[in-house]
Amino acid sequence: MAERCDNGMLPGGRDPDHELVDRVLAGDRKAFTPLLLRHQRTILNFMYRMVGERGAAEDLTQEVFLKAYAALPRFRKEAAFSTWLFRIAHNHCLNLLKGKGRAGGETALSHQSSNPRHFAMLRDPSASADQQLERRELQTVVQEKLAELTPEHRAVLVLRDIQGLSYDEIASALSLEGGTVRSRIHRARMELKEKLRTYLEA
Amino acid sequence: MMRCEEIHNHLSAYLEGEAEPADRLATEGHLERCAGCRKELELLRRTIATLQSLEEVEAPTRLTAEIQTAISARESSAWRRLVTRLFLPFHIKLPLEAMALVLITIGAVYLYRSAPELAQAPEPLAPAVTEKAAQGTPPSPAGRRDQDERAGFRRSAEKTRARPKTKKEREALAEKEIASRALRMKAPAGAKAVSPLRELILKTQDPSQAASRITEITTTMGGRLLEMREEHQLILTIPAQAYPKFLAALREMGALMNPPAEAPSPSPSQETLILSLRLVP
Repeated sequence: MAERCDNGMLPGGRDPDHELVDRVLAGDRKAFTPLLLRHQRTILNFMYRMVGERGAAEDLTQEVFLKAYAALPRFRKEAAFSTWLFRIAHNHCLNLLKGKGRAGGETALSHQSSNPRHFAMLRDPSASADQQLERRELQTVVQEKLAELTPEHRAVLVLRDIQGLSYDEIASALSLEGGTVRSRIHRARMELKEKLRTYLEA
Repeated sequence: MMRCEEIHNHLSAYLEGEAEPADRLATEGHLERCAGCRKELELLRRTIATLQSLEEVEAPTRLTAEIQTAISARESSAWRRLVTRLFLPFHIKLPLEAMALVLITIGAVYLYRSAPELAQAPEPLAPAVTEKAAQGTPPSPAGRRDQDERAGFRRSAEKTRARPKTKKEREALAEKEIASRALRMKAPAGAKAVSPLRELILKTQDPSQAASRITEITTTMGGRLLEMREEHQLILTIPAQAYPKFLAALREMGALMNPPAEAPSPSPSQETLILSLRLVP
């Protein structure tokens, strides 16, 4: 990933997405497709980690892009398009989770893998085929523990540690102060650390 | 010296190299001495590493198509909403249109009834007014309005007919109307039949006085005043035998502008004549 500025834009305040946004706003509907192709995977993964279910994540991703398309005239290009998209995704997801009381736990994930030994494999990239199968099961355990966090804590961990956004990008996407983002990320990590303690110590 | 809980608060920043220099030094000093905090730091590092190692899910190719389809559908439905807003759905539109039609009809009837032309439109002959006229009392405009009210129902039935545009047309229509009504219902008692309408114009010095006089003569001669219209137009019946005498009486009052046949050659079927007599100064 190219080095980005605080607001998620490339150095010089340039965001290649802005030009596509301008074209869409000028009536070129097809210019939205490159934006979609460029960002749908990121949004899908954010949603997947937030809700823990693939189908629901796809539905939510679709809803986010629909919202973004409708809200495009209000995008002021002060931040990167991706940051703006994350803001929509975050708000949409949190509204849904809070509205339906789905804050964690109620995911479609199976709860079968609870073996601490699996965590050692998760950290080992040179695992065998069988180990990789088990490793996939491990993913569900991390996802399960992640789902036990509040949506706010889960969101910052997904953005920071899974999606690799900078603190400033997260602050911009979530409309929060940098200090608030830092302390929230730290508290979320410490909370997840406690939930995974048994597995991490193995 | 920092306690363990304080150190824990700085572990994330320390791990990511974002700790303030003073905090970093203090944390390093503490970690050298405290095995418990070193362990916590290691667990935190593993937590982050675990998250970072999570596999990404791939976006299926159909997702792009689905999103594009959804956007197109949303756009067309937005357009449809706009159209619907402009042209309401039928279950709202039809009652509104029906209500508008009723209001327009009521408005049209009201306008027609209050239109001044209406006074000159053909009117039904009310027996009360005819009787009054027959007694030599010309109906007042108020009386005529009264008659208008009573005849309202019948007149509303007549309104579907094409309205005459000029005064001349209206008058012609009025006479035709009176003749037909007289033929149907106003033949004097004993009369077997009535003739078609005859038109007379009498030029006289004082039409008002002449009108009173003619009313008297008509009654005397066994005829009947059917109606007195504005501008001294009298509609009356006269027995055929009395017609020459009636003409002679008219000539005494002035000059007949369209001299009729002196003797109308009464036949058994024409025992009563209907006259339209216009008095002009």
